[in-house]
Amino acid sequence: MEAKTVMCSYLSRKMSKVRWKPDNDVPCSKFLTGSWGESSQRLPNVEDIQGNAVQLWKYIPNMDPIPLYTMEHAGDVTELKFIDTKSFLVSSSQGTLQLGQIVHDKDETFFNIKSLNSWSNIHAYKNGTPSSLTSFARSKNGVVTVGDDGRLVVISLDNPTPLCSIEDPFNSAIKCVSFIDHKSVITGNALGSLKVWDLSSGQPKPVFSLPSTLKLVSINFIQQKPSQQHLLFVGSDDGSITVWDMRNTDSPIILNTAHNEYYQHHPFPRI
Amino acid sequence: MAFSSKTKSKKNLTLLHPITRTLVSESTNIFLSVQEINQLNSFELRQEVLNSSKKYRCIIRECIQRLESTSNRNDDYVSSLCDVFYTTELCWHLCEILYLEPVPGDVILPLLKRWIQFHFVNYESIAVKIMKYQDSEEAVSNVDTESLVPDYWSTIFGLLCQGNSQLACKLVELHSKANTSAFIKAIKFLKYIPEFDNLDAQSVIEFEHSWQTWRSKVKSDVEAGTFSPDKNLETAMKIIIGDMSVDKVLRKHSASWYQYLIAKLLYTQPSIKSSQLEHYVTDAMKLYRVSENPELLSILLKSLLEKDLLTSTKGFLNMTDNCWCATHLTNLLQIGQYIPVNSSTNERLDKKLIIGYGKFLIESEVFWEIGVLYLRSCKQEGFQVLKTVLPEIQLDNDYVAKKVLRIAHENNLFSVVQSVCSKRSEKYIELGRYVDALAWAIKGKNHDLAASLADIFLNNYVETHEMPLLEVVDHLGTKALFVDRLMFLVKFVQYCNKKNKKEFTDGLSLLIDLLVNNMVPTYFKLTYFMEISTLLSSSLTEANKTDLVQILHSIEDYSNEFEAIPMNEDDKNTKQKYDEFLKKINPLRKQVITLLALASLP
Repeated sequence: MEAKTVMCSYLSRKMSKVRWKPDNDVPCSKFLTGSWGESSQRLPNVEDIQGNAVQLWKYIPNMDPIPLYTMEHAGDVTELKFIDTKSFLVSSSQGTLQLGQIVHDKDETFFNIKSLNSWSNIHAYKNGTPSSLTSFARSKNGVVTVGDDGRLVVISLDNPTPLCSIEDPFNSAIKCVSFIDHKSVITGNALGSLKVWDLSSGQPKPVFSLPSTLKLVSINFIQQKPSQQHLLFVGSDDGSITVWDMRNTDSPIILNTAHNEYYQHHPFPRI
Repeated sequence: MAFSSKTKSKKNLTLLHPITRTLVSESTNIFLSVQEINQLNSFELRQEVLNSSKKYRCIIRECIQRLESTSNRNDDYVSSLCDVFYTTELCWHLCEILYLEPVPGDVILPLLKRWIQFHFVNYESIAVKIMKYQDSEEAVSNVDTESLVPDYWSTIFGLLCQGNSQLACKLVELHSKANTSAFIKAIKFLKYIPEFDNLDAQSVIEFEHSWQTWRSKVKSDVEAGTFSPDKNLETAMKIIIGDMSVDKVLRKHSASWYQYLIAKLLYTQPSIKSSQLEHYVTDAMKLYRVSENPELLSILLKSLLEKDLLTSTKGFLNMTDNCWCATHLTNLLQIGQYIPVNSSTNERLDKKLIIGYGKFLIESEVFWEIGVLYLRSCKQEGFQVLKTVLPEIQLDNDYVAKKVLRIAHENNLFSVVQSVCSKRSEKYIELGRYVDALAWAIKGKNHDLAASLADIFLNNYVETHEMPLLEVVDHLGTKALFVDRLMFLVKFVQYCNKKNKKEFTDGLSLLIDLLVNNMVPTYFKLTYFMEISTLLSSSLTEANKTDLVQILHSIEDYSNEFEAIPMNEDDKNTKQKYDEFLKKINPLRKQVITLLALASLP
């Protein structure tokens, strides 16, 4: 790989997610960031949007990123994913999923983020307290979200209300979700268990659990290998990455303890 | 460092502005690298300390620039931030010159001159404007520079007060009478003001000698009236020979006492040593009437010029920047060994400040992760504070809890681990998510919470015969075996799993093991015996004689326990309970006896 200079810029928010805006003409020049843990207490006389936010930035090599637009966001940003070159989904620690779209004028001087749809409080505890929407996965037909409340919610992007929401009552907080094929998803929970769900009937049904060997170790991400979709990469709190072959789920094929602290995201390079 | 709550809340805002927040993050990186330079030898160490000081100043200047370019720069909040950091940078720069910069021959004025010129650019910018104007067409058609540019002479005097004789000379050259003999001579004198230049390997004595020679030449010309045709020119010449009669001009063109001080020393004591500065500070302050009730900036500059580090540090503490400057500057001076370590207590002056600053960052909600880095740099003392402040962090969700937990693990702060886990566990109990509550209680090894959660699950089983832990029990692992009640729960869940798989014989021996070890909680016993009864009724169960005898023993023990409870005949409730008990336990007793009889048959 060609050695490039590393640019370091200091921004005024704590960031939890950063995603390049996919562009038809490479390389990417804009990116989105999502923040966490920002105080909701407002500072006097500061015009800028305060608290947690989703921000759009322009990247010019060897320069500080230029802020293009800032959108207020209730709660920490727990996940941020582009679904095409303009639209993205952002989830919140207050149980909300939002579909946003980046719009701009002809000359690309003024940018805006339009909220196309928002599914509020789809993850909440029994007493009504919002729960963190920890992760979501998208297929052609819709989106599946999971949360600390142990719920699995199925959403269609053009429908303002969730299609269905089921609770896994005998289980712990769900931390991540990924599609395996167009009709089934796999979830990972805070105790280290991996469960496969069937979505073909519209209502998610648990099919089976993988014999994960993790004990009380939260799973943080599940990612399909783009070129070999039967391979799942599972990262957990203890820094290990486990690779599962979904054609044979008796035991994982690789167990890699590459990190000594918790592993959060494993992006595959775009090819 | 006790602040009143009012000032504290005001102070809190200084570092929370979006622009100043970047200063906090960026300075952390410099701070952390400074802590590493302890290992270097003394020459390299001092060089690194100076470099780091420049880096700190660089980010302060950047911060000021960004504040100045915001749309609401006239706003009180932003302008007060500008003031704070402007003062910080001015004082920090002076401190850097007086303590950190290597000064050849201890001739300090060239550096102080640079300091003034760097921070007060008003005369320089007017001079540039005048020179630009002079090149313009309008000026070419006019002959009289002086009348056209009213600030002309005052700019020259101001530049001379700042020691910028080269630029002053260029302005004089623009004068319409620049080719008269008085001007030619003056220009020559201005051009050749001797400057102490270490690069020429010039000694201080040589410099003093050449300066005296130059001065006496100028002085004799002034006295001979060479410059008297132009009063202003004569004043300029009097300034550069340090003539007392133009003191008023000096004061008029120096906005503050410290500018005046430098201006005066430049032309009277050009080779003054830094240690001698203190003799002149008080007089200059008196002239500007600031000595009675000096503002913070004056106090700071005075103490710095007098090399009184203790007062300087106190002054920096009083700045409204949450001790940002005091902490970083003191630390730098301490690392560079410019502040002695207290030999009797081996205490470093900067530690308290770093701990205070780190604590402030943690309490500020948004900076808590950075605060941890500062506290960690103080080793043992820092850990002590971390122990008390980390558990105070608001744990809004698992994400934050995990971050705190990781820090606690990294620093072996087990009490914090326990506190965080217990808090999460309690939160999940409140939310009715008992599986998560149990997981956190186990992680934090909280006996009481784990035991009471085990009771919740068991009680729930008594009422509903549902066991929510079936799927997760394997994931609880051996970590769960630290409380008896939890161990019983885990074993019982394992039994439930066996029952579901119809492994009744294995299930029964598991149940009997628990009975023998006396692990079954009293409130659960009746349900427990009913489970045994169900198993015994199945033809799939194989029970041996010893097992049956054991069950019978346990039933008797349990009955005795139940009967031992003092019973009041009027107490209908208790009686009813007893009847129910008998109704349930007697069939089991019969069942076991029958099985035992069958097993005893030859």
